[in-house]
Amino acid sequence: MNNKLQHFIDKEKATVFSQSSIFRPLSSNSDTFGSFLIATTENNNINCLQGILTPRFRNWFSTFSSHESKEELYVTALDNLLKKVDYLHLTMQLDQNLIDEDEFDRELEENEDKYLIKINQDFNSIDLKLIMSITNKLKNRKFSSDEISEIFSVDIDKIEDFIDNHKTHFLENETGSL
Amino acid sequence: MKQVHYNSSIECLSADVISRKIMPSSYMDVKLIGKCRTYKCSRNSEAKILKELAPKKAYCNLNSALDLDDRIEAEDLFLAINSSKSVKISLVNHSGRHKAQTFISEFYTFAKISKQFPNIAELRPQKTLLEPAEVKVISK
Repeated sequence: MNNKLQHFIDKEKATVFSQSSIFRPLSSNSDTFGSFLIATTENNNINCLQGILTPRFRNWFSTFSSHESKEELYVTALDNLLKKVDYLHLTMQLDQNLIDEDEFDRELEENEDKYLIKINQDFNSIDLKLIMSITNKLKNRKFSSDEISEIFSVDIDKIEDFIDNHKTHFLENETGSL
Repeated sequence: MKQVHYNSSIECLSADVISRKIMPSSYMDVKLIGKCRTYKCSRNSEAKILKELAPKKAYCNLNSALDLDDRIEAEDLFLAINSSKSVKISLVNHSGRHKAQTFISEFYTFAKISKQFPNIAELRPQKTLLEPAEVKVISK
């Protein structure tokens, strides 16, 4: 087992527990990202290996993790844009007198989930960095903070704070992506 | 008082909005305000307070202007109106050459400058949105 695992781990920062029942929960915050605990059974023994991933594999797993977060953001963006399209279709029907105001209000009230964009309060700076990296890929479009808020369900204050705190970084990367 | 810089905002119970182009944007659940209809005003826009909040306390941004006749003028504005009713947008002659779209909101209105006029120098540091600590609920 150890021969196979030695490619993945930083040997100097690894601890091996043989026949041990020490299972310590590892937190998943960014400070300890790359920490791991592997348990295997071999010849009726339980082998536990705890340590820190080598930088190469830490980057590898970090990429997987950011792809997963980005997928969630893409799904949110798609959902919110569809809600916006549905809302604008409804508004257009009202403008063209195809429905009256009462029908418009009733439709909004009865099918609120179809139209209402809800703000998610759980965004952290890593999510906001991913959002900026997504929006930076659309070269011909500059997004205002209210557009980002609407598309990704982020609180507008958080976007402003994030932009303020990373202004130097954005100016340096204005033509590239994060 | 007139404000023209990015992130300047007004909050009121009724506002007079005038712009070359007013577009409905989305139906959003805005923190501390509730369900709002949002609008985007572009190409030379302004919003003026016609009726002050009672009590006169900001719900969205502690830096918002709250006094009667306070107004913001900019290239683009973002508006959130806490109403289930849609506003009636009408066309008026704004200048000798250009027409403009206008409406008067009759519910809680938050208007913010999302793009200032290009000929006005940017503030350094820029204005920030300062969220009130207390959670408040506005009745419709």
